[in-house]
Amino acid sequence: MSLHFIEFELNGRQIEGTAEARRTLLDFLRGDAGCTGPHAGCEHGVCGACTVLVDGQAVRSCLMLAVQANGKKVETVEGLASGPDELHPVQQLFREEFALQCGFCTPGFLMTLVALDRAEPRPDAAEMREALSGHLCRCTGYQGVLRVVDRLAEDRK
Amino acid sequence: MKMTGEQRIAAPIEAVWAALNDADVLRACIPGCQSLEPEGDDGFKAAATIKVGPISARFGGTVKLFDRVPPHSYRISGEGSGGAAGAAKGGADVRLVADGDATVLHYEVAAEVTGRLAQLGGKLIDITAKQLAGVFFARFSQEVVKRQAEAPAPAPAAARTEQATADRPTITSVPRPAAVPLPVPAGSGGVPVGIGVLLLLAALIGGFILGRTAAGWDGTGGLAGAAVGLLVIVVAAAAFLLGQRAERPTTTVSLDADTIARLASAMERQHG
Amino acid sequence: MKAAPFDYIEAGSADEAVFLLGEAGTDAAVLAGGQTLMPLLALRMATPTVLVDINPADDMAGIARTGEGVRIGARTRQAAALRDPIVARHLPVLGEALSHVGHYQTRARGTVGGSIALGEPAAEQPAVAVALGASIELRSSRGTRQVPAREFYLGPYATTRADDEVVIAIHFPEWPASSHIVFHEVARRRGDFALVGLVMLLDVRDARVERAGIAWFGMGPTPVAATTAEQALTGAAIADIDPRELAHLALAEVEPSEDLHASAHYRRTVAARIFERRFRTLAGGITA
Repeated sequence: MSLHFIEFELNGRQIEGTAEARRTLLDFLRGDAGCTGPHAGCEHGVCGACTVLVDGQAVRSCLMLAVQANGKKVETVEGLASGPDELHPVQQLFREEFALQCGFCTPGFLMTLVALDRAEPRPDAAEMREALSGHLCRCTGYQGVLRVVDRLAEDRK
Repeated sequence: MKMTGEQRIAAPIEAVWAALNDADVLRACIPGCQSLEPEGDDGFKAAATIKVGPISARFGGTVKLFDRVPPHSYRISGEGSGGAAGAAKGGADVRLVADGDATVLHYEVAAEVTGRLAQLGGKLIDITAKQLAGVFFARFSQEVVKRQAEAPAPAPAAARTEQATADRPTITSVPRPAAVPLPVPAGSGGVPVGIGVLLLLAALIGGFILGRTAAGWDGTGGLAGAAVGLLVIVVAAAAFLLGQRAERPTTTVSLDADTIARLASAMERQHG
Repeated sequence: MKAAPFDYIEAGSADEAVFLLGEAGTDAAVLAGGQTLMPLLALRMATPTVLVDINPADDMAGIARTGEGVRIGARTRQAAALRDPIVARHLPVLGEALSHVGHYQTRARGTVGGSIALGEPAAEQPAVAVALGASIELRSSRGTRQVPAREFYLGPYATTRADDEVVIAIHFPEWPASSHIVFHEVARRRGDFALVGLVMLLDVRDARVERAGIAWFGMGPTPVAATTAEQALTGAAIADIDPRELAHLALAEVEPSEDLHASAHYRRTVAARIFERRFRTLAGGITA
């Protein structure tokens, strides 16, 4: 069992800490960095609730070790809104389209859509839908999310 | 699940029997075997770790022998536990038949599976069992032949071997009484232990593999399948029983030399 | 759902990875994208003592044309391969296969070499390697060797890779850009493993088959090359081929597995149908 000193940028802030080799990025974010936005659902890469951005890529934080985030740039749902009264455009669309019920899966959906929203060339609605197949919603609230996708795709034209 | 097969070993029946009852030989031949200790007069306790690609399963179990007719046949039943992977019961019939200077070892493994594992059924369990059996027999044949060549047997053993050789024509028709003295070391496991352990391991690992496709692992992030596999094993693997319900379909696993060599070399590499 | 303790070492290059794996012994595992290994660790189905992380080994990533075809570094991310112009132009069938691998989020980490090395029998990438006749470059402190994909897979997760060997790259041979490709996967949901999967490449000149590469996945303990059908096709005029008979030949090597998801009979039936249908369409396009 090895112990590692790690340092990375989290939502624009530089953080550091010590992690056992086996500690996942998800557990480190929630337990050590105080970011409880990424949710621990299945913890083996199926549900998508733990999705975060690492160097701009949407990845499952339960399938990455904390030590692997060393020197990287990590973004979680906490870093999306620019202020207490100002939602990120994707969050705003979620609100307007009632795209969440219990909210457990929402941070994952948001992070994937934010990554797609920034991607160049910009994906169309079909590609976004395909990407969302990596997220499970137990409330079966997909219709609202798909309305968000349609509006995002529309906005881009 | 049923698995039958046979293996020709280039050594006389007495030598094969002796090797089957030698814990050292078995320990060396069972893939991933970590320990094999006699337990009571008629049983063995075994622990093994099996690696299939990235997956490894640690397994501990006990095997009891009965209906022993040296040097011709055994029956066994065994049960074991794979820790988090679950528990299993199984059994096998083993017969040795002299064939010229060689011995043909017939085995018949029966596994009655109930619960959800029974729904899974599965060739993949067979494949894993076949792989493990293949490695076991490849090593076992090698070991017996090597011992034959190396060890000039001590006088009494040699006498017995001669006797066996002389008797051979009648052996197949007249089973020897069990009282005939044989070079059996303390405890008497034999292929039963080997096959018992192999079978149970195969079931456990097969369960993982079967469960997997529910969602998938390969970069799909879908390990729900593996979880299903685990649950299934925990819930249902407790029900291997010997020789039940003969109407179950029989899978005949025939091991040709090529397959054995191929599998054995692959497994050797995996198990070091 | 938490991994058992292990040590972690970073490999900054292919050479370092080879050295570290050689030193670490048989209980070490290579961590590539981690999209299979991490769940196995979490479930404690895999309990290595050391992880050798090849993610920092940038020399193991990248796609390049060589004299013989296309070389894909083992640590190339699936997402990167999916949008790579060389893949799009010279290995379109791999591109199509990759779009079926996992999900957007797992492809961002998952690697081509990781999937090839694992040998999941229902996975897409090993089947593409088998169909195209790719070879796998393995390196250890004992040296480098290239193993044809058709000889690499022995059983579920069992390959000819030794414990101390690192998969360095996959070499795909050149197929003419005009080759006809078929990639067909039957699965319950996108991203699931295949119940039945088919990869087929036909190099056709003047309505005659020059070369054929066919592999099945999800149909047995390994990806299976349909060599009987390949041989039957080679040199044959497209117009002379009976698609139904060919579909029958294509299943000669296959012994489908039977599990909770599908019976062997189902797999065989579906495989024959999709083969026949896809071949008919393809042949129709050529002879029209």
